[in-house]
Amino acid sequence: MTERVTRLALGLCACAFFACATAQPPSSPEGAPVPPPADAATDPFQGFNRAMFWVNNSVLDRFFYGPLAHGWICITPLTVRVHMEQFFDNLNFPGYFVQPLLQGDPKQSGVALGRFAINTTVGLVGIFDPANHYLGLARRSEDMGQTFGVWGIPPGPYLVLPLLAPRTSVRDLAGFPVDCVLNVGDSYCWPWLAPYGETMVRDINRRALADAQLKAGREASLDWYASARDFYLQSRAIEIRNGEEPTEAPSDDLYQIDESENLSE
Amino acid sequence: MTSTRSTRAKIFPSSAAAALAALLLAAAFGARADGEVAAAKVSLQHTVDETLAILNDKSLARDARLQRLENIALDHFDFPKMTQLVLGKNRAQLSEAEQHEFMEEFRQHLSLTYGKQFDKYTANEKIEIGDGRLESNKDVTVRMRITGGSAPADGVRIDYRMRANADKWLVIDVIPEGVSMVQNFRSQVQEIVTQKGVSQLIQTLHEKNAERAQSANAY
Repeated sequence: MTERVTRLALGLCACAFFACATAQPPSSPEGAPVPPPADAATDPFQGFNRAMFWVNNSVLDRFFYGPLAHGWICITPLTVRVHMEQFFDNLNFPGYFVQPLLQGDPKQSGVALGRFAINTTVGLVGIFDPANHYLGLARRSEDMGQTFGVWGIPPGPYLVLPLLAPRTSVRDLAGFPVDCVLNVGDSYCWPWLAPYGETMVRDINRRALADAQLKAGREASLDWYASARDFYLQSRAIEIRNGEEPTEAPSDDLYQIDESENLSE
Repeated sequence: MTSTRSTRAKIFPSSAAAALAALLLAAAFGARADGEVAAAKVSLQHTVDETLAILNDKSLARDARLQRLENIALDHFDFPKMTQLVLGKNRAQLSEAEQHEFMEEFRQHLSLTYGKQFDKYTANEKIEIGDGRLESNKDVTVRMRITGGSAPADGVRIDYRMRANADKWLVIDVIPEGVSMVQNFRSQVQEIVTQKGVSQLIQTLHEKNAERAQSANAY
């Protein structure tokens, strides 16, 4: 739950470095063309993305979601916020049930079915989570983008869109119409389920739950846009592996210190 | 007949010896791998014990506590290596002195931003050190789980990637819920270098720290 909340809220947050997006790339003293950045492959739409990140964070979050979330924190105890989120998450059952089937993991669909049956009844329409507390049926978030990932479709370019927060890539955006129907608790496609703007309350509640992490993330970052992007991409990869250890270590060169770099000085 | 027998007799002991040698080697290697994992876990356990001792010492004022926590971090984290990993290939563009300056600013940044996380400590947290895994490059990743107190309801998992440095196991990456901090800072560094140039890297970090130190004093 925490990753989802954080990811959603990260999408709604501030980019202090909007100006960087439009800054000219540095040119070398000889005027030779600068080699393209290493992440050009993952983030080719960076100019657009930074602009959208700025809208989400420096406008929508700063003047709307943030202040409302702080007000919400003032008038509600933490338990209320946690259980409200559990209620909405329980409504995601169709997606949590169907996606594991598509991923060839019917056992997980069984877990999702058991969770929904128990939490909707004993857990009072999902407000409580006895399925996890007493039976150890742990929650696992699923969506179409993750299924695409399990099928081996690469994420494609990173993407930030206004309001539609957790769409982190072109692949995930392609899954959005399906999620809109199946992941009822996350969706805006079921107005008859939420005629009084409950989705707004849900979003403000999620923003409130992620408040401390967002604050810490903003403070600890040197470039908030890049930090948030990396956080998205790393946690998305974990979701697709369903928290398992990676079979091979693709990031091994991350821990490689190339000593020849020293000699080149 | 005799020749066959003698050949067999010759082959048998040699292959048996080879098998035995292989077995012993495997056992020795296995024991070494286990030993490495165990040593890394012991080192992390020490770090946790020392940290908890300071957090539970109510006689310490906040500043003194932070200072001691920072000293623990200096003892158990390999800041030079972390800095090299965070800089990645951009390291080649910095002189030795600049690399050192970056490391100092980076260390200060971590202490200013992560130090205050300890203010949330309630003494009800339970810290469990779990399994360790030997990585292909001989690093060891040790799992840790924090539950109760200020931790979220489901608990939080933090992995520590550790590397032996002169027989001492030091932390080179902190990985909360699977998100590598080294990877995260590295992509930020890359972004700053791409957008503003390598000369602005230390400057950006320096400004951030100055800003933070100022707001910390204001409280």
